[in-house]
Amino acid sequence: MSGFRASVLAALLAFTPVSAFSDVTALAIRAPLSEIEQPLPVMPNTPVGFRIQAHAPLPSDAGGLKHIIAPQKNISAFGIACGESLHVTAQPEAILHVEVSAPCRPHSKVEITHAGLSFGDTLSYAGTLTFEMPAMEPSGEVLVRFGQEQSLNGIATVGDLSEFTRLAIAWEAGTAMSLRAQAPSHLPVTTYQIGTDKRFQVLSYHQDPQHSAGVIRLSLARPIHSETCDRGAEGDVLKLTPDLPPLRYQLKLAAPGCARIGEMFLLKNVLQDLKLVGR
Amino acid sequence: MTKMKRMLCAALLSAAPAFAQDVSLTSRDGAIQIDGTLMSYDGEFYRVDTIYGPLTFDGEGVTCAGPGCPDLDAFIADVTFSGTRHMGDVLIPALIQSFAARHQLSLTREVEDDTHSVFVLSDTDRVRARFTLRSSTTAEGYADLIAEAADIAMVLREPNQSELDLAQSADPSPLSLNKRARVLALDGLIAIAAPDQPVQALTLANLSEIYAGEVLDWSELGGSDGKILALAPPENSGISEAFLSRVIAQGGDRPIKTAQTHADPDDLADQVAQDAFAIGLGTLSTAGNAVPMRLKGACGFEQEASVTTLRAEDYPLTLPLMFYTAPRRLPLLAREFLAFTRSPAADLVIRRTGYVDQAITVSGFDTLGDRLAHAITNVSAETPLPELQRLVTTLRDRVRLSTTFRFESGVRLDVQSNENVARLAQALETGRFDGKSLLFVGFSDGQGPASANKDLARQRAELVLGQVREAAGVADFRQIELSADAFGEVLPMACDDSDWGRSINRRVEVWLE
Repeated sequence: MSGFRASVLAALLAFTPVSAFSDVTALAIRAPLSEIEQPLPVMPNTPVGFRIQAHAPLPSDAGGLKHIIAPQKNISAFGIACGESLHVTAQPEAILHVEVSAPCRPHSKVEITHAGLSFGDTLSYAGTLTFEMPAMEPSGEVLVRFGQEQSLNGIATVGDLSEFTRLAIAWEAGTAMSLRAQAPSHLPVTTYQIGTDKRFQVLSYHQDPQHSAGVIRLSLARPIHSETCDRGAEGDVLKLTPDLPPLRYQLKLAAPGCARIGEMFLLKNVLQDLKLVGR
Repeated sequence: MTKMKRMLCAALLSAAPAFAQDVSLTSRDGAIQIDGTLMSYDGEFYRVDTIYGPLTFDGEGVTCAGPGCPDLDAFIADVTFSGTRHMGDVLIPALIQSFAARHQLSLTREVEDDTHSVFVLSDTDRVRARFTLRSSTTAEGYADLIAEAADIAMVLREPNQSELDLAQSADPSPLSLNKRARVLALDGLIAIAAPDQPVQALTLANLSEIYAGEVLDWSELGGSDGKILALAPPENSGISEAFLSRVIAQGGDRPIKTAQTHADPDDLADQVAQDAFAIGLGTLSTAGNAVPMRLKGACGFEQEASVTTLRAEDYPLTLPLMFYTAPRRLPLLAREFLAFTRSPAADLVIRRTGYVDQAITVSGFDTLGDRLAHAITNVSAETPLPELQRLVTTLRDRVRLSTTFRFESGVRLDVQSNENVARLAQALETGRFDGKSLLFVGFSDGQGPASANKDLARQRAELVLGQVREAAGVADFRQIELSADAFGEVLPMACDDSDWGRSINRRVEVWLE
């Protein structure tokens, strides 16, 4: 019933599809899905502004409606065309603005890959996801994968990345530790955390014109409790330093052990502190 | 038999752990066969415990049969580094990461805890090497090396007599411990203070008195009133050991008395940076956001720990970070890693991690500024003006290389200068100074008669020149002019009123034209 009901609901709501991205050009649009069946969104438990008092009686033979319903089969539950799109735009401070739209994949998980680092997130009930992330390579290429078979990619050239020192860690699912930075006040450090299950953490420092000198201490931490004590951590590390080639490696951290429950699993020497040399 | 003799490289420790697996090595022509127990295989060489004792065979010259034979296509180079955390925390991981990237090997770092990691280097086919890194102390590094629990020791000092004796008893081969040292990078022992502490220079005697608990207030050092909070690393750390032997002990055999100790040098530096009344012991690489204090002498010279002064060993408390390697052939990738650490790429990593590399750089005659002014001010019968004028005439059109040679005693070069011989020889061999003239200039301290000092300075300059020439075996000396000169005590760099000042003044500089 779901496909039919969804189409009726869309018609009842008279939802007008409005592109949230009308000011940008779609970099990749996929062909609509061929199946008539469309997933229904799981609606949040919040009050809605209307109530359906009664359902109109449906004819016992729905076959007669097929010629009406068929043209709507690639429309989402909110009446938006199912085509998936990815928009990537470069922002100041070497930031990538990413907009994912897959109206017919509401609340589904996606894997995002940038500069060889992957992390996971979940689309909204309307099948959208918007976020900003620090670029980790000048080409600004972002790949979004829906399940195993479908993916989109977008590119936005980042011009000012060479002014940044950045360290990014893409953690394996459920193993993320907290990336900590301790810096003096004259060295403003920004940290980003994106993703849900597979997290992506980035520490970013913009070299100022005065080339302030100092040290930014980096550490990894995680409270040790019954659920994490026997769990190690795995992630991919990418470090960008002005004038040096990117440094990439995989990190595997042994579990702290359940004898240490109540302590903090703190590693101060695994990540190299950022040493900034003044002019 | 000849071939087998040629393959035999060294007799090694009979007490080494064996795999207890039998192998039979046969020469390619089938004429010679030796049976034994495989002790190790480094990807190129077999090490086998035989009835003649432990022997090493070139893998290319033999075929291996028996249950103990290694899988030649699946060899993984296992290399263990052990020693001071001052090298193991940051420098060695950074060098391994850079080495892997340059060899297009992917890298996985498996972290057991803050002091124990395994770096797995792989190509697209398989794992090629495992570099195990254990960070503890210099003493443990030597102990692991002697016990064959490590292939490379990371150390901050040369071995003491008991370590040399142990090494000699474990391995009486001609490759004694001190022949296997090399300086990887440089650091400087320093005192640190907060940026807003007005006292930014101390004498070594001041430092000694502070850490002996004899000077308690900044006002005694020319600062404003305020109790000194003296911080130090733990007593068994390499930094404290070095301070005790090179600074505190100069004022008598006194223990370090501090308000607090910090096992983590970063924590120590952070606390000092935030407390205007604190002073800390540390190194230039770990100064963090605190300020390195200058060392001053009674005659007015001040020495600052910097890249330039550490490279030239013009700072008295230069701290060489050294590798000592095991007395056996290391796997190919380990040898390639060691070669990489002497490359310009490694120099860049060393600088980026806050240490000082040993790249050969130049500075102009005009940088002599203060030294020359001091020399002119102190012209005397021992250091006459004509000699100073000859110095100016000789060096004015030249530039000074950062490579400088200093002596432990008499004419014995210190460990950093031995590395400098190798570095300069390498530069000569690669033709870097072809078409140029290198002048080795000897200087002395001011103790004793000036003429004797000048003779000794010339003797040292000629000695260094000879060592460099000998080390640069394949250099084309038709393209390079090497000569020696000496100016004795006319251009001191530090005050002659202390041992450290005199040791700074006894030097051979190299000037390029």
